Amino acid sequence: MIRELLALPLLFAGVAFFVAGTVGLLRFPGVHARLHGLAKADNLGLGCVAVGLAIRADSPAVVVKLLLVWIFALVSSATASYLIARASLPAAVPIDRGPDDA
Amino acid sequence: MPELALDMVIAGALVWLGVHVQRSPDTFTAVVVFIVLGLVMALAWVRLAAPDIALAEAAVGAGLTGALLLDAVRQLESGRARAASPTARAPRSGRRAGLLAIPLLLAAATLLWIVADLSALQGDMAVIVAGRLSDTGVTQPVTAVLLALRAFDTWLETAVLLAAALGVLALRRSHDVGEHVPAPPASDVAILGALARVIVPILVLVGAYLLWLGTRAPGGAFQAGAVIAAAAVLLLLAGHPSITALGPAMLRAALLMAVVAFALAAAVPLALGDRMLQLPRSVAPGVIVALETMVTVAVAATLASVFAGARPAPSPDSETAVGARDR
Repeated sequence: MIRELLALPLLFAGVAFFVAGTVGLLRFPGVHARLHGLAKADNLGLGCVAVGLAIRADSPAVVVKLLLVWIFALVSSATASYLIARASLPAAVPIDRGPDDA
Repeated sequence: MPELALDMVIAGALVWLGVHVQRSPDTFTAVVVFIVLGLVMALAWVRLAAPDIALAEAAVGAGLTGALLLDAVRQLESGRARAASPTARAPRSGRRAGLLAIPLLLAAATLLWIVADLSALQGDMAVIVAGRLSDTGVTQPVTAVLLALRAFDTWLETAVLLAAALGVLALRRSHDVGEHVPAPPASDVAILGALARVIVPILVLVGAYLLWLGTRAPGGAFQAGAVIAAAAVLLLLAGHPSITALGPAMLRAALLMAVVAFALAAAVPLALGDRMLQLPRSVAPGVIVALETMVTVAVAATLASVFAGARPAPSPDSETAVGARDR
């Protein structure tokens, strides 16, 4: 029972991070801004979901597997983000500078 | 109730993604949407209580097929740029689309009829398999069906895989495919090389684990072979010769292994007076594990060589290539 109470906010937070990342994907201008939003928000969301599920897990093996899933997703998304960012350099959208910036 | 909502979301997403693949403006978008479709399909298989198929769909359908299609798109784009002739997207004629709809509707109707017939059979099949499980030597019903009760079908599947590999490799000497693909930038190769150093050993371990797990839980030879093929593809992208480093004799051995192993498993009982592929209870678990290992090697070799098939071998003079550094 107490595990459910601990896990539920984490799961909701994970979903919220995923929604934030998706909103960033839909609304940010240009590939690099979208990558930035996705990489940070989705990985943190996955981490929250993984920890939330790990709290509710039945055995230590499941906990280790969930944490490994998170680590592998981090590693592969970092690599993929770097490659996409590099490949999209010619098409980069310049950041709008407001009147206060130099 | 929440499960029904989830199922309906998945089903709707499948239909929407399928339509979207067709209507995408360019092939790259279509391939990306196809990969997403494969992943949602894997979710659908999990919801249908078929984790083995979900694993295979995620590894082969979304992962390796996606990589193959992306590679093909890249080679098509480079070939089209070379040709320097603008290929306008021809408007689809209504009559042609109408003619195409007839066989598609027939196929859909046949599938619906099969599914309607299937639900009448469903209960019996699980009971039959559960009753025969103790004869087969494994405890997982899917593996029992694949490698003991219907081993003949699996044998034919390995032959189909071999035919596919032969088909792709036969195109390897073709000169207008892949010869002028621009090399990836050195920074990409360095990053992928760093990833490969970490991930490839883990992928091989996961593949071996899936193979071992197949006798008692969802897993098995095809999934393990797909994971190991993914490791080989990652090595190839990182500049390592990978599957192309296998000499022709070794490659042929790897591709043929499964078909020959099944042939032996069929011939030996036949010679000893039993029926084809009938394994005595005492040797069945060992033989099934051996057959699964052969199938894993064959699946991995087939998928990796299909991916590497029409590409030229990576040049060894790239400084940051994983294989080159050790020379």
